[in-house]
Amino acid sequence: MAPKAPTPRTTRNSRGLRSSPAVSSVPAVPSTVTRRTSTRRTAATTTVSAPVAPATPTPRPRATNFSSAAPPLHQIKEEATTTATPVTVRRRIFPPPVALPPATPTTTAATLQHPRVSSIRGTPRQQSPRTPIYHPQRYLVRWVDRTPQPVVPSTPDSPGHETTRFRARRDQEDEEEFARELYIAIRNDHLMRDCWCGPPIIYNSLEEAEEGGGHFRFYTTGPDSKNLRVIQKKDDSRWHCICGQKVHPVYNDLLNSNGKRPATDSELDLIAQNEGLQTAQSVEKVLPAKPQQEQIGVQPQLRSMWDRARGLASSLVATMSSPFHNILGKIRDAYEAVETRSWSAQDDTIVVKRVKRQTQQKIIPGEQSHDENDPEFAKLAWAAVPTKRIGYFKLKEFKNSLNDQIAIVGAGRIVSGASTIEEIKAQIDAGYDEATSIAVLKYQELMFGPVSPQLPEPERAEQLLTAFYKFQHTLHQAHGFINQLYNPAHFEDIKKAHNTPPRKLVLGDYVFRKHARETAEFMCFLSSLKEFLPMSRDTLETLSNICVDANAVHKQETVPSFVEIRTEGPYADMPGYFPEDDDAVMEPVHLEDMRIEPFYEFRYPSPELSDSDEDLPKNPGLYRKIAKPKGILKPSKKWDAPPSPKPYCPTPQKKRILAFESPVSRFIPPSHIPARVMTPSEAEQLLQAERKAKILRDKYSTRIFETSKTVSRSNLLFADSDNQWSLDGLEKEDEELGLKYHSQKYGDFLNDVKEDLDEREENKKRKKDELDKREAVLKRDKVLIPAPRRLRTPERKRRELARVAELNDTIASPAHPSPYTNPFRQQKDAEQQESRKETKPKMSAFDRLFDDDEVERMLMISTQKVQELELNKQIEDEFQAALKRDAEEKRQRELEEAARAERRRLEEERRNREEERKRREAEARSRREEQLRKQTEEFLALTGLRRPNRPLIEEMSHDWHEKVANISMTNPTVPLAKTPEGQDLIRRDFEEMLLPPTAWLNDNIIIGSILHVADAINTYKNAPATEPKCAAFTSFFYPRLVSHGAKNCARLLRRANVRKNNFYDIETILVPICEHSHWTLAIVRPGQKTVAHIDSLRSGRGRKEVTDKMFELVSTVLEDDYNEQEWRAVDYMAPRQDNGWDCGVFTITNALCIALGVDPNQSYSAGQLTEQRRRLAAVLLNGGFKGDFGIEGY
Amino acid sequence: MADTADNNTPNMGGGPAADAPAPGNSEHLNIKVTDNNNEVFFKIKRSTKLEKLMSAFCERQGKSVTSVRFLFEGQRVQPTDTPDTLEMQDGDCLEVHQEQVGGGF
Repeated sequence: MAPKAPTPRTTRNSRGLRSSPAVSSVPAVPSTVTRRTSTRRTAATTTVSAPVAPATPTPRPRATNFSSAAPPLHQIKEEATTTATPVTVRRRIFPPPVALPPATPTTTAATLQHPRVSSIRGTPRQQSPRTPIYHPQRYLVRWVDRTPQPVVPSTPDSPGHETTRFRARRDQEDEEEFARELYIAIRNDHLMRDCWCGPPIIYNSLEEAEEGGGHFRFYTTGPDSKNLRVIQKKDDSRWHCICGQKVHPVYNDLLNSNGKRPATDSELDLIAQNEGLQTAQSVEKVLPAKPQQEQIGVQPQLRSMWDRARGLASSLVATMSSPFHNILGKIRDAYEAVETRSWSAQDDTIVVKRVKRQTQQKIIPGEQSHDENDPEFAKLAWAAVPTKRIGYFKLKEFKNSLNDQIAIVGAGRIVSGASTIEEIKAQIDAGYDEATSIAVLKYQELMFGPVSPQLPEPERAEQLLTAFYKFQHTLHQAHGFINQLYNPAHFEDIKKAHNTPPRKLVLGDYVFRKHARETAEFMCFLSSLKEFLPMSRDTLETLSNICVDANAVHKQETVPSFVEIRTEGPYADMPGYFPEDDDAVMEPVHLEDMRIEPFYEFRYPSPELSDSDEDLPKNPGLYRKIAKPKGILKPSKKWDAPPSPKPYCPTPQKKRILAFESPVSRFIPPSHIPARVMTPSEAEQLLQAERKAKILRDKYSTRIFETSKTVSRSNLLFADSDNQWSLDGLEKEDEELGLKYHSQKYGDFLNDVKEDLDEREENKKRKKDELDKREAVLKRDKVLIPAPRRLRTPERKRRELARVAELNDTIASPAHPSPYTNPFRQQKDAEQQESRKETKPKMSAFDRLFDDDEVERMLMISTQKVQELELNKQIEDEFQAALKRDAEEKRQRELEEAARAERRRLEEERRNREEERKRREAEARSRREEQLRKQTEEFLALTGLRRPNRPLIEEMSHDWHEKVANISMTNPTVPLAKTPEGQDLIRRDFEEMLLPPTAWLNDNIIIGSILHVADAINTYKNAPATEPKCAAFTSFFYPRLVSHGAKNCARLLRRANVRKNNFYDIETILVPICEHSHWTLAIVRPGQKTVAHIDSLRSGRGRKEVTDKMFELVSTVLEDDYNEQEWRAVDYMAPRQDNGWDCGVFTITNALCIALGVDPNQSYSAGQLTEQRRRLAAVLLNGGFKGDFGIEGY
Repeated sequence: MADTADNNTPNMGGGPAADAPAPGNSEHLNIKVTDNNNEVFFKIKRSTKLEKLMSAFCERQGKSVTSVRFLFEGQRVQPTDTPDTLEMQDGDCLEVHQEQVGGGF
């Protein structure tokens, strides 16, 4: 359709300028597309899209795209070829430099090798004597090892960083000159491509450059950093900048560090003035919400949304005449409608078919593996080629027409100034294209509403220009997107990543999906042109197909063109992917009736959308909450309307400063005084910046570039709009920029390096593919090779190497030519390649797929067979080795088992012995305990003591604690209690002689307590005072007994009611003794005819002199009735006193125990005596063991 | 002995001790109070509370009443006791003991 571009353009293209920039570099295209650059693009694309002439050896279409972004169309084709057949046509990577001596490259490199770089590396380059190893075989060995290892083999030609060509080129020229001009060439390349990332960084030293990034790294050197040098890093495939990375600069620039976008002034104004009203400007600027693609629960809702789909295309056409932003919003709704699969119908309309979706109820949210449980979806399988549904030729035709449009738009061959189609048709002549003119006009109407003739001419021209640029940009974008989407290589990658088509398929990054959406919109727009332009049904079908696919990409779903349905029966061989009348899967929907809500809310909906309930999102959870943009203003508080006459303004009032409009006077510092003295580091920075600027200024450029700023070519071109359309102006500009010289000089070189990089990536990928294939074969055959121990004996290694070499010889090298074995052979290979290229026309992927070149196919098949045979042989070897290893392991295991059993037996015996010993010990212990118990029982039976029924020393009540504690606050002279003897107890007795834990008890306390014990016993046993059951003496009795003899104690005996006639009725006679500051207790038990002495320091045993005195007492009392043989002295067991202050308490407590007839050892313990002190105090205050302290129950 | 007694016997109970050398059944009686070192004779009425005697002795000996124990034939003498209640006779002896305190050693 489009005539060929004028010849000057073609020559410009041959300089190696960029051919199709915005189309292919999808992620990083700035939105401004100029007419000037597009002029070049047009020329280039025209050349490319023209059918490849059979004999065009030179100049072959050079890949002038330096970035690692998407390659242009013809490159994609070549990649398709590569993936389709393993036979790779090796591209020419080594054009012999003009001035290179005719020596072999390696020797030249060795002699001309750059000394500094080699010294840095420390490994001087030399010819490696080793036999080069073919890598796939090594991979195979590694695979059998099943140990993941880095796949970075050192190739023989890369002892240093630099390739031979680079080195040769650098050595051929002056090093300084080379670096400088290469830098400028690269910079110019960036400039030409409107690359946003700027020229390469210039590092300050070689070390920094080594640490840095990129394929080419520049640095300054020399005594004062005046010289520019460049090194090449082969292992870094990122080219010389980062513009290949998928970073969208727009959002990086927009976002603050807090993730929010700073508001612009106009936005502030807008929001302050008109809250809620969004114009096109604000809509355009608002950031997209982040798509939550990781959420699993999204999908069921999506399906239900799908179910509620409604009509779209009609609304699209109906809203054609709305203002721009409204339209855009509606289009964004509308295009979603076409997410279904289109299908031609009987009449002229288009009916689409869509996959029936399950309703929300059938899906369990959060369950990820529902694909397997989904019988309908399980029918889907990957298609063979991505264009199977659309059709390769149809797509090609469509792309051609797109290219035509691009060319026409680029050439500016559209009618301007027309407001209707009729006007356009009237103005059409040879120089204009009618269809494109109409399309642009419609696009203008879409953006700005109907073009009215009353509109002033400049405004109309501006509208047209805007629409034109937008149209052009979208055209390029759609072209690039289609190229990427239907790229067979990408499709293969997808297939590899997913065994079966998943419901959710995320392709590309966000930018790619954004392009998908815009492409879908654009396809909608194009299909709407069918009313004005004659369109074939094929074109419409292709349009809708692409629209559906793009929409699926945008929604992160499986692209319909990529899948086909696995069905039995008549539909199995369908070219499409959906059966025609399979109602179980498909449901036909008229295109006019489709309307589907957007999946992701990428912008805030326009206010008119949110007005009607019907248009609101049906599932709000899916949608980003529509809120005020956070980064712009805080949400205003809802105040009650203040009584102020001033209207409330959500934006804070700016602080008003009273100032003159123009300063009345101003202080101007004297010029000879510097404002601030520069620090040394600043001075150094300034110096370096100047040096760099100097470096960049070369003799071919009259303009000086700033290193820190990216100079956009489009900006430059827009700057002088006078000559922007003239070719001469362009040439002049190029001269000024020095573009021409450097592009001519280094364009080829850069292209070659780029090709090298691409090829290496490709090689890596191919090797990985082969590896995967072998693995797949092994898996398919289910050869279960156990992971072998790694026995790296020299013998084994030698065998492996031998086998690898053998394989190297076996496999035919045409498939994998190794250029590193022999330089001569390499050259020969290159020549062969050249000759083959000349004889054989270049073919696209599709052509090659169905090529009739039997020889090549046979070669391919035979190569594959040989590989498979080798593979089988190796599998067999490994299998045998595995069997042997298994046997060995089994024997080893048996031995180990036997040893283990022996160990177990020994362990068992040892354990048995141990148990026996423990059992005997336990028996002995229990015997001893039994004996002890028996003894105790015997003793208790002998002494008549028993176990108390309840603990002797119990916790007192709170009241008694209070009373005891209150003793310290009483009058010191007032008697607090009276002993049974009548002795007053005053505060001193309690406070100093009883209550402190280490106090020594005095006689008042001891006598009082013991008398209370006797009283309690007598009261308990209802014994009258004259016939006591328990008699107690004071502590003064025993000294008198000792000093005066028993006969002189008659008065005391009488007072204690101990007489001869009632002596045997008395159960216990208590005699407290204080000797040598130690309280003990002597006991006479006439009923038992025993006397005892209890000394708490001796665990209750007594002393003989005391018991002798007691015998004397007994004999004195009994006179003639005393039979010495019947009476005996016993030792009671009592808790042992282990301190120097508790003996009085022991004495009282023991007296109580013996009087009660209980065993002291089982009644209390030495640790309770501090509590017993308080208890005794309470008993004394209480006036005896009664009431709360009664002895009942012991 | 009598001189000593006379010298050492304070006139207690208000009775004229000198001019009424009472026989055994007389209203007054002589009581010897002794600790291990000293002996003090008191002539008191039969109905006089011994508290007087005890405090006089302690005062003379420079001791606290609470730190000494007066014993009559091994029986503790309470301050409210009188010679009558203790059935004392003339010439009986009161022993003065130290307060008994004990803790361990």
